[in-house]
Amino acid sequence: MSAMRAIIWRELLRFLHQRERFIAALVRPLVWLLIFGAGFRAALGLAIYPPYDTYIRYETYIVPGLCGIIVLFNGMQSALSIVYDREMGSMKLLLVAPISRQWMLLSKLIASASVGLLQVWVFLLIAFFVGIQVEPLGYILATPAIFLTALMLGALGLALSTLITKLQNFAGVMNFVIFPMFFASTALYPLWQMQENAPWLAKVVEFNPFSHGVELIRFALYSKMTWVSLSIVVACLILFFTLALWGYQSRRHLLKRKFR
Amino acid sequence: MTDIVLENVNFSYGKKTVLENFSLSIKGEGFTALLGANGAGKSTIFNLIAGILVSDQGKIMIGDVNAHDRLQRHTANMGFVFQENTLDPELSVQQNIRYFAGLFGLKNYQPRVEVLLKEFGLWQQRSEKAASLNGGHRRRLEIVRALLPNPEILILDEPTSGLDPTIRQEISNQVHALAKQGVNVVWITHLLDEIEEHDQVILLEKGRIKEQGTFAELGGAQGIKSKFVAKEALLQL
Repeated sequence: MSAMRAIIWRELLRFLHQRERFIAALVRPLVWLLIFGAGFRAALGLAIYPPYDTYIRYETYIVPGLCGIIVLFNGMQSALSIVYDREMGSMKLLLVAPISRQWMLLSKLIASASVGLLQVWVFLLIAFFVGIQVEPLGYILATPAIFLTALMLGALGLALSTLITKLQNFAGVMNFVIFPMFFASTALYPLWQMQENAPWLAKVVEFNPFSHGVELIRFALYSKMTWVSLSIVVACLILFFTLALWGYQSRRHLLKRKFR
Repeated sequence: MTDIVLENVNFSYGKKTVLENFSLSIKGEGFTALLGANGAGKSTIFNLIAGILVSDQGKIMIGDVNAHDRLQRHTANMGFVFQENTLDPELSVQQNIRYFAGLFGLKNYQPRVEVLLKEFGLWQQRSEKAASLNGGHRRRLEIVRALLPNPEILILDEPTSGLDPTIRQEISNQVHALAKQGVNVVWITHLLDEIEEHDQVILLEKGRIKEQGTFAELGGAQGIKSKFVAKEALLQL
């Protein structure tokens, strides 16, 4: 536990020291919320659809999706930092520590999700002050939902990092993962609208684990539960983390090349 | 005293064989220099002993513990100084130490931190970020960090690379002093001027031990240079 605490403490401290990263993490969703949201409010009509009991503004609709994009970017960024550490050699310190690689990866994953949760809390606080508010219980219930989604996306990042041998390749992978996951999800538009206008896209969205992370957060913010999304998020978390463990165990040849 | 023994170790990077049927024994006391030019296999040996790499074949024993087991559990009584900078530049000197102590599960380490930071001339810099330290101070901090668990073995992979000669000599002297205090020091280098007369020297060439003995027995810097094909790869005093 001491090693896990140290890894989480270091990640949080690093994040707080890197003010630019903190600001960038918040600016992205805030631009979507304040500019994109205001612009699309008039264009997109939203029907009453669970978990909402009444008509809502478009900005209100996209807040859970923006929480999702924060943890998605954070998960990929954490994976990037692992690739960077591996490339620069600083990963060696972790590899000689008297902890198993499984424990090391789990610690890294929890550390990354904790940083993601911290970012989302700050974002929700700002959203609160610009008038997008939910019941206090919603914030409490959303916390584990956000954390779980962050774990799933962090595990996806870890699994991807096993496939990447060079730092410069990571940007491409991020573009192929982050943007398709974000745009082909329920983050920006509800599923029923896609089912009416682009049924094929609706199918993709339904299979996108990111959509289920966003829905889990959305329902939790309104003190409701979607068991389907919860099950999919947990299943994907287990799958991605298993793939990451397998990747780090089986890529000794890569370690050989790296640490020659 | 903990000996390091490699027995019939094979290791390759893909199709390139680096170590073949390689055996090595380092007694658990004093200062041992693993000396060789680039490509001799020095860093591979370091990574195998550290458990970062796993041999294709053969046995690596640290005392009576197999290195493959140590990979998971028993690196706590070894100190490592890597060729690369493994400090977190965003964290201060003390925060880097705290992170390391947490990783290695150390308790009640603060009194030792103060002693070591003072001994290695880093006490004044204890609140500075690692990024703002000069090269010599960074290396010293890595050594302090490695010494924190009070290790029986201290293994350093080209710890003075990139430093100017005066600082190199100072660091070399400090580590030699540690060896005299009873730490088993393994110093991997291609620099002859970091070795003292009574140090054990293991000459490596192309993944094989070419010769071994004390620095004096091998004829000092000139004697060692004459034994190598690639003489230019070894820097002289």
